Amino acid sequence: MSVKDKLFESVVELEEQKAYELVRQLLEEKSDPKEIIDILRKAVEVIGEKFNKKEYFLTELVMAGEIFQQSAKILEPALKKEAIKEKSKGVVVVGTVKGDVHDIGKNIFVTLLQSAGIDVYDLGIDVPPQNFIEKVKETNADVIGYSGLLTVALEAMRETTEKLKTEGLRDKVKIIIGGLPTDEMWMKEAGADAFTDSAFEGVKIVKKWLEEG
Amino acid sequence: MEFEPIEEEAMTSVERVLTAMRLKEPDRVPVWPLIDFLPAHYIDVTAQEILENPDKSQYAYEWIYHKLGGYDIAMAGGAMYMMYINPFPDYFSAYYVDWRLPGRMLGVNEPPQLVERSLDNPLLTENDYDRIINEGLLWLANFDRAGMGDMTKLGKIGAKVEENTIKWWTYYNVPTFTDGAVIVPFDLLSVFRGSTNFMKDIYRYPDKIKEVSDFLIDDVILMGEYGVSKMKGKTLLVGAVRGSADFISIKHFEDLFWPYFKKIVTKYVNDGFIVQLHMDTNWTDRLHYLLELPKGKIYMHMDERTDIFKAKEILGDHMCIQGNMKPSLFTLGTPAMVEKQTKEIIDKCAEGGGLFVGAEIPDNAKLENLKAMIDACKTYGVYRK
Repeated sequence: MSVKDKLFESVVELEEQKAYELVRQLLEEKSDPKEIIDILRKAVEVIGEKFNKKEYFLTELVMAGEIFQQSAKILEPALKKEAIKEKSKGVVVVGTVKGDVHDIGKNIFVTLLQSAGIDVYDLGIDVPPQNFIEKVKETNADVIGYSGLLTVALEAMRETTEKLKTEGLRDKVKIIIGGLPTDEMWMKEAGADAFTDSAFEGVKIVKKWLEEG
Repeated sequence: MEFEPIEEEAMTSVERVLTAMRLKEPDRVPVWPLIDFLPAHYIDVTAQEILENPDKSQYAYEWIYHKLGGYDIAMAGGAMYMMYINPFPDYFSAYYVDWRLPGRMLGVNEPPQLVERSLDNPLLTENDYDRIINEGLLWLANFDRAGMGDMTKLGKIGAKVEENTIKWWTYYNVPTFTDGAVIVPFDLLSVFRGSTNFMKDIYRYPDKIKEVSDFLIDDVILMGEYGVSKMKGKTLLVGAVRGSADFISIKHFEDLFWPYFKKIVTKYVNDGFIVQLHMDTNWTDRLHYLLELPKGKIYMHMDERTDIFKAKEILGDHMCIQGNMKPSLFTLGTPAMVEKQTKEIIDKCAEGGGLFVGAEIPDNAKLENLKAMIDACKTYGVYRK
């Protein structure tokens, strides 16, 4: 098995330390850092598929995100040296809406978006509508993600969408809402385009939107 | 203020709930809307008063009980204070966990919310597992959120909660929701570490998590019994969230969660308490483990993520089940939608007893939707005339 295959396998099996050693080894062997990132990305995708098949759970997604981020840190100097600047696949603004502070799912969504090469602006928790608006204007975002767990979060989601409309921004962005209780009823109420109770599924939807342009 | 009397039925709520829990058919399916801060949306009482003022709180709960024509499990006024201003290192304790409470870092009408500080600056670092084993948990206390004033109030409020608890059980003949609550060390550590950090720990330090859980388990059991002894209560809640299929694999569940959960529940049942398993998120693929718990002494609350029909199939002869109604339905739905879902659960799960219908009710729920669930249980849910 080649070192690259070994790296792929160790990430899929979530053997964290082994994965970092292999990333370092590949760098020493002068492998193309861009190619290493692609291997990591493919491995995270396979982990996502395993999550879908219920072979893996949230813990495994979190570990996958961690291994990707730590590996990317190891690769950073080499990527800079080679002056490889990846073209961004799109911009997403994410936050847990006003009145709600739950962020487990949101944090995983952010990590998975980053590992898919998407630029993410995470506004944190308890985010007032105005902060979403300002960030969308500043970054020219393609997608907004509202996160929330409490039923009261719905009111804040609706309010944020209304503000987007007033500002003439609604047609320029797609909106996805995420959280365990979200469903079609929530989506309509929040004036959103999609809903998901899974960070992994959410990333799939966003990727599809960005590909469609 | 006088309330309109509740219409008498063949059984009292206490009889009905205990019969269903023993897996026999009562007069009708018991119904339990789990109401915490909802009255603040309808009458002149704030969420802060529901938390901190046992008289106003009891009034609010009696008001909603009568407004809805009666239901089968109620909350004692002031019980929430005992839960959040709990001096022990527990999940609900504002002394330990970063709970924002109404009137404290939140508006007077906002419900309590947990801030996990999951990524930056967690309450516990990964090096603190050893510190717990050496020093216990008391060093984690933070008196900024709850302090000496609260300690002094605890005794006074505790006495009131006892009075209110007894009033529900003997005057109204309605069981109280929970007189004490604990969670397994696994969930406690997850909250202290922040869930994202903790999920990494599951891979990096599984042996430490086990070691600390072994160290804490007996203290956790005692913490729950403090609540019931203080309020002369009968019911204990064992909560679980992070051990479910929404978080961890079966392997991690078996290693790090289940043995401790089983130990707590078995001890409380053996000590004669009514035990509620309060299991949020999705437990469907691990329901069969619950067959290892004592039969006919427990009721299990599940939210809409666990498949209640599967639960009936697996646990029907062993454990009373409850829940699964979707909370947002009570805010966004219509009475017809609520009635339809209530009837479906009754149709598929009521046979032979062992079912309560219910849900955790959002604070901004519509009363007509609550009434639709309650009335469906009182008419459609009748076992015998």
